[in-house]
Amino acid sequence: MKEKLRRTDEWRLELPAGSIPGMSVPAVIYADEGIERALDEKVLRQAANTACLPGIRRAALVMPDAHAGYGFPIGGVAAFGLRDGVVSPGGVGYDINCGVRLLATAVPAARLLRDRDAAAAALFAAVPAGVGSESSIRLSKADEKAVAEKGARWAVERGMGEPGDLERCESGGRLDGAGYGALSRRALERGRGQLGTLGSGNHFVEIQEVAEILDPADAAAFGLEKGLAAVMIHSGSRGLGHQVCADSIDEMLAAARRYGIALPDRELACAPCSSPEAERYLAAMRAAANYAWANRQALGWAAGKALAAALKLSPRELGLRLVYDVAHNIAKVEEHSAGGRREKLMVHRKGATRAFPPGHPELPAEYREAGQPVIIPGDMGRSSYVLAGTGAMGETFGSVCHGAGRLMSRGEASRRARGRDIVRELAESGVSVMAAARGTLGEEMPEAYKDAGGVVRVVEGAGLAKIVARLRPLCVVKG
Amino acid sequence: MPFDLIDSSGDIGVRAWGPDAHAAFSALGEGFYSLLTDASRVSPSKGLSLSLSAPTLETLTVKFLNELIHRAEQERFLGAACDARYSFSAGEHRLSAVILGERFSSKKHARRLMPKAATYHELKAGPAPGGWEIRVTLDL
Repeated sequence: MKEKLRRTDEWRLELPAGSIPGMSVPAVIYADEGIERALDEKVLRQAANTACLPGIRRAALVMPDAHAGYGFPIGGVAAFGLRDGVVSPGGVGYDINCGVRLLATAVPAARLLRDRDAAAAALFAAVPAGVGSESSIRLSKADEKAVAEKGARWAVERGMGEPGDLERCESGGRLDGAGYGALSRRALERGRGQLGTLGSGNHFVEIQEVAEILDPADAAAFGLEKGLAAVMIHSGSRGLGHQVCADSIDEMLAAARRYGIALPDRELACAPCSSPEAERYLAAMRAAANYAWANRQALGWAAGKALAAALKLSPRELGLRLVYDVAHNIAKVEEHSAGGRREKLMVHRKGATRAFPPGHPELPAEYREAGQPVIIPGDMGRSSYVLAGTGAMGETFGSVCHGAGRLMSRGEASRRARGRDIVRELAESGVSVMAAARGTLGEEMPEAYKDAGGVVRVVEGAGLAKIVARLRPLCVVKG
Repeated sequence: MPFDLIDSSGDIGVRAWGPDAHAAFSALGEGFYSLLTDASRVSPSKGLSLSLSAPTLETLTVKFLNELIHRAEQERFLGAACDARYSFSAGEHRLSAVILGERFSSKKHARRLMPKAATYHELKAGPAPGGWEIRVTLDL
């Protein structure tokens, strides 16, 4: 497939429509030459397959952090017409509304470094993570219904945050059209005891330092000040969301057969947007998305409480303030211009982040001039970034990357980490790490990922968003 | 039991094999638990019985692993040994399994990875040279 790629400019590659039979639109890959060299053939095949689905608009988009997923690539964006297009659970992923939350603090990083180990230990104790972890929050059936319908608001109403937090979440921390009744018994069982837990794999809570300001005006608007500590959280909808996706795949495979949709890959299972199967999935997916926002709200609150206690600071001295919360595994109905006319589309972002430009009506008033904050986590040892959406609506449906993106498989990372003490190596470079699964930490080592700095430079170079601030990790708690 | 772990970008796969379907499914169960913890530290003190059916072998495989994920999350059950029996009749693929193990204890069991779900990605299950083979990718 690589031989069919052509470079259209410094930041973009194109796989033309028709590169495989049934491919109705091109695939556009955002990559400089360095990222192109690391591009996996499987990513191209998955993007080409996505471009075969009915009703796809403009192009199958592949962000610079892309790696191979199931069906759709991770780091992919695909938008479909509501009348002629499809909804695909594989275009959202198993961890529905996996996302990132960034909280600023008023505490100088230097102050935090004095008690870094205590802070890391307090966070590790406060945030249940990994195999066998248990939440201190046990949801009743009524609670779970309220979480599914209210999202982050449910947690705020229980004292886990401030009302102002809600407008600093994408979509206000809640999607309309959530259907508690669309959740299976098993999804509800899995969700009941997991709210306020981090999960496993690449999920984390990090204390970071705002190390560099690249756009002072936007950084000021986002409340980011050089030298202060910040807290970043990466988690999603836990078992409830995973179950929604698992439940839907078989139903969507049957639906695709029923509606005569040819699937190049079973994980692209889908149904027409207007079908009852799609409606059921979307109702359940929105409920799971709302659960994820409540989960990150609860995690942020628990992290703040733990940090204040470890540093012996009052909440006022800690000055914790939500900067923004973004979803990077989601499908949403949004209005965009495609083919010269405005229409409502089903935008799938799988490992991709919404990045709306200044002036967009969905942004809170305080960010409307700067654009949407976009939070791009790095790896355990290297920087994360805050970007601002600039105006990629016409090209990427207002979307950018979601992280650094894997460079090595878990197996390869594990082999390369053998015999090394990753915790000690990170400590020597100034990062304190605590992990529930210490034995598998090598799979998450920095070299296993691309440098997020290189990824966001492509995004900025392509004019999709601009870099506002760089944050360096100080303490990492992994699942 | 014969299984190994296979690379899958940010996720992980299990390849299990044996002289017949029973052995391959049994190995798949044990391979799954090796992702969660060091199974040699799990005592076979409690039994978990499962009985599943599905219209296709692929769906049965996904259902089996998703059931193990569910039990691991809800009951904190970790398996040490798996004995699975597969059959096909009247258009239905069936699996019954008895898994011996115990409840997770943070004092005793090392935490490894907790998969979110089994996927159909590059899934293969069925007769292979020398017996049977199953390959499944799990989302992490």
